[in-house]
Amino acid sequence: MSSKDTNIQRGYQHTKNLWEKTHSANTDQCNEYIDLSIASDISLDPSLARKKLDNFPQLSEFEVVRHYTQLSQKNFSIDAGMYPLGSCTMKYNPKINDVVAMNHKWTGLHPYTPEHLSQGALALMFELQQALVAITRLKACSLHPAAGAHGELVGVKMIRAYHDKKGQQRDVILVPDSAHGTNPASAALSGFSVRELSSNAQGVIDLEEVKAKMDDRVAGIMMTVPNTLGVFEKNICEISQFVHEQGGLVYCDGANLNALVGQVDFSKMGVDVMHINLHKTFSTPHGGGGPGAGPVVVSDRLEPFLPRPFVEKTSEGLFTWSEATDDSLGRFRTFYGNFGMLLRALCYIYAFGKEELSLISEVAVLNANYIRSKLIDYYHLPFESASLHEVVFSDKLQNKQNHVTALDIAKRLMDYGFHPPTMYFPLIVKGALMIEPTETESKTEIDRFLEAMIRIAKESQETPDLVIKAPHNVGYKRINETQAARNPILTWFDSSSVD
Amino acid sequence: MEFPEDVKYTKEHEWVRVESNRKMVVVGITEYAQDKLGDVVHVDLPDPGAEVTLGDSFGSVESVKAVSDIYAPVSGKVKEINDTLLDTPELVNEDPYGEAWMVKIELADASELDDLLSPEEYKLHVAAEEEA
Amino acid sequence: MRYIPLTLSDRKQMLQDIGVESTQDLFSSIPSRCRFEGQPALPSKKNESQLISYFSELADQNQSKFKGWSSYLGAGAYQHFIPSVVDLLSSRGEFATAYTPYQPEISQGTLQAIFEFQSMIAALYGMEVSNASMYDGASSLAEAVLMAGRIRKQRNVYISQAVHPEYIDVVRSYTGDVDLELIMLPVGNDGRTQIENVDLEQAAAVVFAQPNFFGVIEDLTVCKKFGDVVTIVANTDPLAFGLLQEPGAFDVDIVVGEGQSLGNPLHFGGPHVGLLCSKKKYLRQLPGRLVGKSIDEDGREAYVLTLSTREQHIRRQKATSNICTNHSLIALRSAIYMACMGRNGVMALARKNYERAHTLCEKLLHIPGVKQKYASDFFHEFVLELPTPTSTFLANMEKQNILAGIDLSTWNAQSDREILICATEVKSDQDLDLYVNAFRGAL
Repeated sequence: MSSKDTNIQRGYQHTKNLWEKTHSANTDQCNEYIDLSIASDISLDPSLARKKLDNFPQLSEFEVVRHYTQLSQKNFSIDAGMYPLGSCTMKYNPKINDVVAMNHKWTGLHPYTPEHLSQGALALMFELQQALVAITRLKACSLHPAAGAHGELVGVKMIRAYHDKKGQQRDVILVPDSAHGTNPASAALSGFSVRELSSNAQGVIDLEEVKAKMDDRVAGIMMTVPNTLGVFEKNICEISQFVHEQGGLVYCDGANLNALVGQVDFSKMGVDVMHINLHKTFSTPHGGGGPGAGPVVVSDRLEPFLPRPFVEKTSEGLFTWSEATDDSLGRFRTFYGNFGMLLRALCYIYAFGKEELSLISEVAVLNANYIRSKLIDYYHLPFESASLHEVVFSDKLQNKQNHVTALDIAKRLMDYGFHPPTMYFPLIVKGALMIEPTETESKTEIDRFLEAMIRIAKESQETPDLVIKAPHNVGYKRINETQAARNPILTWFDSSSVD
Repeated sequence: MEFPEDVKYTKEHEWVRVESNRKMVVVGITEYAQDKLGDVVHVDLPDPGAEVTLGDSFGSVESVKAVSDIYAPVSGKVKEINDTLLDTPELVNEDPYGEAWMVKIELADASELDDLLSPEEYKLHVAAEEEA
Repeated sequence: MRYIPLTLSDRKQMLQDIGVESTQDLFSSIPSRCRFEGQPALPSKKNESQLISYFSELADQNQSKFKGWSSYLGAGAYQHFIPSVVDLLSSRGEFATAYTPYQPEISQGTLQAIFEFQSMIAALYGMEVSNASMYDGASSLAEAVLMAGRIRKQRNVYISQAVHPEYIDVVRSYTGDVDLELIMLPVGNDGRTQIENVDLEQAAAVVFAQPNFFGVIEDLTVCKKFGDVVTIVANTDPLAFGLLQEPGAFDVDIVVGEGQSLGNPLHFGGPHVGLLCSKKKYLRQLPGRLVGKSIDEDGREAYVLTLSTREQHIRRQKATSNICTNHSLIALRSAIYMACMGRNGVMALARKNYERAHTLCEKLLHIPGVKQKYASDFFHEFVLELPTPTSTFLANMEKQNILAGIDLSTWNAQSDREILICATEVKSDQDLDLYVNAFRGAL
């Protein structure tokens, strides 16, 4: 294998921006997609009218097609190669899901279509609500949130509403030091202050640590299971029980559900609310950063507080929007959820069915452990606890020898045609490299990845400069992030610095 | 790594230069702190006139990937800030003990100065952090 | 399972290399008391052919134009024509199956496209900066209100009653646990927001919608009267600004929008895309991702996510927001759409929308008993007062396969004879005539 064996286009190619391609010769042009002619001039009061539309491009359709096709060739994607970005669950996004979701009978449906005329859409949402309840074994589900962090916000607000209803003043949330940044941020946005829990030497939270931080101001605890080290929180059942005894509730960050599908019963784990990232576990495309979908599932304690509306089934077998209640949180977005993503997720779940759903977690965990077993001789493993769907190494060995950092290793992986792992997260590992292969990689591809990682470990010893100066063959050298932040240029017509 | 002898230090990696007969201090971040942060891209400072309390965060220094709070090494009133840093944050990397001073604070209680670290003590503190 | 490439012999080999007997051994760290017993209550697995039939049968249970229905529904989600290139280019796997561009050297496609998106959105609204997008218009507005509270540390947020009611609900949900109070501004007979109640001293922000929920074009010159109070304009169809004076021209501080109209399907309400623009001086208070321009080590122009110290993954509980995602793929679709339409297309399209709605409104006003609710001019939707209850009228229209509009009693019980009707460029003269005839019969 050579570092020329890469999955993305090599060689630098400048893609002029849309404005550089807008030339004065075609400014009278207007692409005709639908009749835009009007019979007589319109009556708008000139004082309300726009004088001119500056700084807007104007191209022919084929120029637009070339532009975006060229841009697409500058992107790495899961379709092009392995993307072991820890905590992000970059798995194959089956094409059938897109075909099903983009059916015109779904895309053309207005959200305010009366319910008796949108029974198909309501039925679909009902089925996904039921499926997520069946998979987690919690009580009820709302598909409302647009993303994981949005689901967190809704979940934490439900915890708040639960205590408010009981007339309890609880304004603190416990969050482990290994948590995703969205956890403390969501808690803060709900008016909670955050009390941090320290992970122990095995990378998990001890019951004693929770006991030490718990008091009657604590509204609940947010646990990621498995945590961001890919390690199962083995004390979770005892922690949940204790928190409940103290009057608190348990939030489970479902970002790592891919490790647990069909393996864990979340009601037995004592979870009161959990968000599920459909774009991770249930394969909806990440789209360059979104949209995702972050449904929440809850225990019976929190069911009354779910955001509305969600779908209910009547005794006649019809589907209907739930009525508003006093306890419900209400809305955190317009309409009902990221419907197009919900469709894709249900399509993924049904492809596995009840028989094979647990294959998702089985193979994801197998792949991660295989990687762990093969790289452990080359990279430092800061926590030796059993890994589930991902494994966190660090740059300690490489850094000590030749000051090769996690960033350097990541950049060098690009030369070998792989997307780098997540770097520098979780924060409790210095120089972390978090690797998550998912269930959809072949052994051949994983072996190629391992070979690249092992080569980089050797290069770090023998030819460290090769790693430190990477990437060498992806069309770009390292990009100057300092300059971008010191002097932010955020639109093509903006050249001034921020004041 | 430089540890100038004419200033005192805090465990949060600020340096403190005592002036005007222990009535005023000048505060900045240490060379070690800027080195750990990397290229500084933004500095956030309090408004002149603000009251600050020992140990509280009163500003921040940002690199591309990290934010570091600046904690008040003493209590008192902010008399002056170095607003050149707002436009040229890179000075924090280039001259942390000189041109990149951050604020001047009028002391409320000069005895607080006695708890600051000497250059020797700070050196040990840095070594201990490196060890960890 | 066709999505899982491992063969049985692969699995065997891998287990051997790991040094365990079975995959279940790898789950031994999970206590038995919380293990999943049995199978989940789901249907049996379906192959691709079964999936296609299953989901198309479900889809057939909806009304649609493919079954001869026509729709005049708007109110925050609009039917516009989408050029074929938008679907096909945006669904390229290189775009759709990439993650957030954390590694800029191999993500220049997404990054440049989003930089161009930010540029076009900022240009359309006449603002200095735009972020890389949010979830939707309503959550963008909620974030803008929180942002205003950080910029101007006052308590009162004045919000026009003519902002989309779901947007108001979302602002209420987001601000419920922070120290901000929402105060509603009434709507006059002209359909415009009345600002007499605003107490400038204690105001953090004043929020208008343009065009407003009733379709009415607000007079935004009032925004210049508010001094240091943060002015926010919410917009549910950015195409309006191909015709209307852009908010930036009125010195507005923050503009939020819903970008669904920019080449994105209705899709039963999502995913759509939130737009968020502000003056550059508020950049550090702006939530969400931002793409900036830079260079690589060889000096070549390149793009990168920037100013991320505002965000949750670095600043955690002190971040400007908890948001992590942007609706990047929908932002990309919007960018492709805007590039296809171009300056001339956007302006012509906006005029056509205005013309269609006005042509329809004029025809309907000839029907006895039908009155226009508000005196001020509107963009592409308008409110009529009917001589009969709206619910009865809508049911009658449904019998003719027409979704005639939105019953405003949904949000305000007193408005039970009011209807909000939207007509965009997709309606032909013939469509409008059919609608008008059906309307006559349905009253």
